[in-house]
Amino acid sequence: MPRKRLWPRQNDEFVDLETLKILTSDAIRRAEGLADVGSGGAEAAYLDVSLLEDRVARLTSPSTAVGALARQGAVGSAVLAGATERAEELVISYSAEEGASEELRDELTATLTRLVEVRRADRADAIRERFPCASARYGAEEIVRLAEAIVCQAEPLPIG
Amino acid sequence: METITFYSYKGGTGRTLLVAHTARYLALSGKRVVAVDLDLEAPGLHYRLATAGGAQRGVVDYLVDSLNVRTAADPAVADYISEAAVPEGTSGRLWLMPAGPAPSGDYWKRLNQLFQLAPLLDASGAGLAALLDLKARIESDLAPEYLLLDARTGITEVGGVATSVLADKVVSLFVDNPESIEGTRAVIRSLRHVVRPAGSPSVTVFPVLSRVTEDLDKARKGALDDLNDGAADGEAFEELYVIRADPDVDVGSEASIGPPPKAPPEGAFRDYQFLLSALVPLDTTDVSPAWARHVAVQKLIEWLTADDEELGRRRFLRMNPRSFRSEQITEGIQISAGKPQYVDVAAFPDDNRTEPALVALYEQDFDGSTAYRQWGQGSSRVRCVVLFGLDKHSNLRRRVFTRSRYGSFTDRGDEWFVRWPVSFSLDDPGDHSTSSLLRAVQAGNQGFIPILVERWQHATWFGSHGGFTPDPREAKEIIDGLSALKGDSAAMVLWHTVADLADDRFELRHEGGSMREHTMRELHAPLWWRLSIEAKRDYQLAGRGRGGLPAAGLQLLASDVMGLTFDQEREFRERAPKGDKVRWRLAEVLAVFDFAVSDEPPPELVRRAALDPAYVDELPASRTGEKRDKALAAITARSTLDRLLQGNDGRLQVVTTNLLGGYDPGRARVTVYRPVVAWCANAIRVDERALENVVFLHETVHAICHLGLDLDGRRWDDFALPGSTFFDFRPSALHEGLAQYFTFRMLERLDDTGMWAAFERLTDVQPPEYQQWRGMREVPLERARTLLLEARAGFASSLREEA
Repeated sequence: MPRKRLWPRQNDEFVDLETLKILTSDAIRRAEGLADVGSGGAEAAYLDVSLLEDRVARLTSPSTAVGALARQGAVGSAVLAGATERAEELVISYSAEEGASEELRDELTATLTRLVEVRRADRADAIRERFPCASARYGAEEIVRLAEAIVCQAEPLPIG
Repeated sequence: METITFYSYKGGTGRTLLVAHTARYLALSGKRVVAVDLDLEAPGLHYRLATAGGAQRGVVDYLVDSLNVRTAADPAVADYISEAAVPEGTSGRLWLMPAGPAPSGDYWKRLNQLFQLAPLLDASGAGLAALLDLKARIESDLAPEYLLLDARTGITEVGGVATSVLADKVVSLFVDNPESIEGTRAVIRSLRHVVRPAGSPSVTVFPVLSRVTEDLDKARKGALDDLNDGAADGEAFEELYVIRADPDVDVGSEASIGPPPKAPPEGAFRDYQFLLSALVPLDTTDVSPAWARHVAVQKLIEWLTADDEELGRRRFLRMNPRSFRSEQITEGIQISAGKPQYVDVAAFPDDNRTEPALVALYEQDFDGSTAYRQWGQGSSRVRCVVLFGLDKHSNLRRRVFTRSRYGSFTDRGDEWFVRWPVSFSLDDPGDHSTSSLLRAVQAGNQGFIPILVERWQHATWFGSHGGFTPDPREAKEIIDGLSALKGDSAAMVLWHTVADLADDRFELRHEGGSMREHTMRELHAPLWWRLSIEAKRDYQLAGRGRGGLPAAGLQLLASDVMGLTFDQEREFRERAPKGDKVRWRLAEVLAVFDFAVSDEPPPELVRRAALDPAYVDELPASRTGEKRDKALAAITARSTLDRLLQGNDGRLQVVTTNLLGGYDPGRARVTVYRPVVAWCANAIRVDERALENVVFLHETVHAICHLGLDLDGRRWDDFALPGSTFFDFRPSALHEGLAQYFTFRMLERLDDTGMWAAFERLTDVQPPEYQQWRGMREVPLERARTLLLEARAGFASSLREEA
């Protein structure tokens, strides 16, 4: 007897919209709660939110209020998850959708820019608070910039 | 503050050593230096730079406390760092931040905790900020002029940050092999493109080829070509620094730091000098004394740890090394001598890391009064103080002071053997006189036995090549001292005096096999006779797994004294099948020669008991069983011996054969009956071991009479002692007379006071058959040998006539 799948494939329209909305709300609450207590799992939880919001976005038209909100949520939570590259890809993808208004496109770009800055500022604040000596010597923002540049490098040294 | 990172793509390049050298050199030059161990997975800098606090906490603890939100922010860097000692009058300071108390379990737990807390490199910047914070705190709290980082090998997160974001200069060490060169090339090229803090110039890279053993210029040129292979315009390195494999003692002219010399530098010290002058260019006038001190310290350490390669091969030196190991040496440390004192070098015993055996102080003028003042008085218990410095040719000079266990502090001049760890078991590590070494050996320190053997060889050798001054008095002192050894040391001395095929020490200084034969015949063989029977037994057993050991003692008696041939090994080799694992068991069956000590009652004692009305009822009819054993034990009791060994007139009646010892021709076995010997030694007031050896010697003469071959290759199989008739036992005048005579001759040869006394006193209480030798003192040995041969051939004349 074939075994029943416990989880649908990514493109399966197995979960209906209402269920997705409930799951999304729960995921948002969970991610915010984890972020509030400073948990290291907050970023992973925000990535869950981004995935769910993206699923809602696929089931809804960008011209609807729910659809526009879901797209903004998917982009914003990707940034909060530290997945800036994913957020950028989502903005490009949503902006190219048929029915996406100019206004929505601008809002998505603005959301991305704003949240990246906010996140950078949050990180700088955290560094400033935790590492006052390094912040005074190098500048907290500069440390964040260096860290991001090293992460972009994807290896400890730029060999090759 | 200038930050210098020391990096190597592969391990084994001497990177950590170079960090330590650089740190100490800068501190001695009056600079403030902090050295940080960032080799978190394999830390070791704390072994190279000793600090008062040790390595209790370090980088890992700092980073964990710094990143852990549950702990208070802002940990004070002083809690994780400790200061190394520098000489008085030096303005420099040296701090060490170890990785942590590696290799303890606690350290690895903390390191795991660090990796679980946060990846050191992620977009949040926390890990990077923690490392930058550490650097900034060191700069603000300690104000060093140099920060030296010991980075992990390979490509790692911490190593990446240490060589890119944190560093101003990177020293990249590599060795001359393809994997090391190619890895290094990739890393140092990438350093031109690394992320740097805003406003910081590019990292300056100093490539260093280390562990060079071949021609320096050739190695440099080859490695530089490899390093620049395929380099883009402007990326090629023009200079490659080279450090040769071993420090060269011959530095040559006076060392100084300054511009690179015109000629290629010679010696590893010069290699360091050349590199350091480029890496940390300092004012020449500041650093000349520091460099001289640094060179002197390194030379002294080399002297303390130098192991003669040839000597190192020798088995007994592996057991008793003649130098300290590098891990026993600590450089630059405060030692308490009433008040804390800086010492340049301290050498610690293996079992004590707090109280050094030896301390060494750099003192260019060798002023002994300083040593007396600081170390000769007060509460210091350091056993040896070495003042050292360099002469005008940069050769190491030393002045050694030693302290005895009784407190005297003596100037020993340039004594060299204080670098032997075993010296510190002497009453005074500077007193290597024969009597001092013998006292140590008799106290159980076997490490000096080989030294005494060598000294005996020098005192007795009259070889044609010269070089030694014969000293019979010293030779006698040594052989008498060694023959007094007891327990394990006694067997060990036999082991050390045998010419072991695996040990070439007998051949090192002497040509051919002459010294080997000389030592076997004149030292080993007499010692074999003079040491206890247990020692002989242990020595014999030790040889079993090695196919046997030479029985030089037996040969001495048989050949030199009795004029017969008896080579136990040859007998055995000829009669036992080769390649058989049970050869030794066969040897026993073949009854070549064996000996034992027995607690059983000897036959003559049993005979006397059986004839004594007081004991006749106690002897059971049965020859076996518990009852018999009890009865036999009873007759070796002291009270029984008092009665059975004394006549009715109270005079002793002692025979050697069958009472004190015995020879069993059927098994070719000599037995010494210990209870009777012990009783007798007490009764005639002689040393028990000496009497045992006299009895053993006497019975072995019987054995050789039986087993020895004459020049015709014949042995006397019928020369067994006549079996004692139970009721009327009389010793054989012929056998015992000859045995006593050869025993007397052998004792003359051995010159053992204790054995002489035992022999004389024993003779006094023996029957006339045992006293014949006294009338034969003037009989030449050749005549006695003839008598023996005639007796063996069956036409012996009377010994009484000879006497």
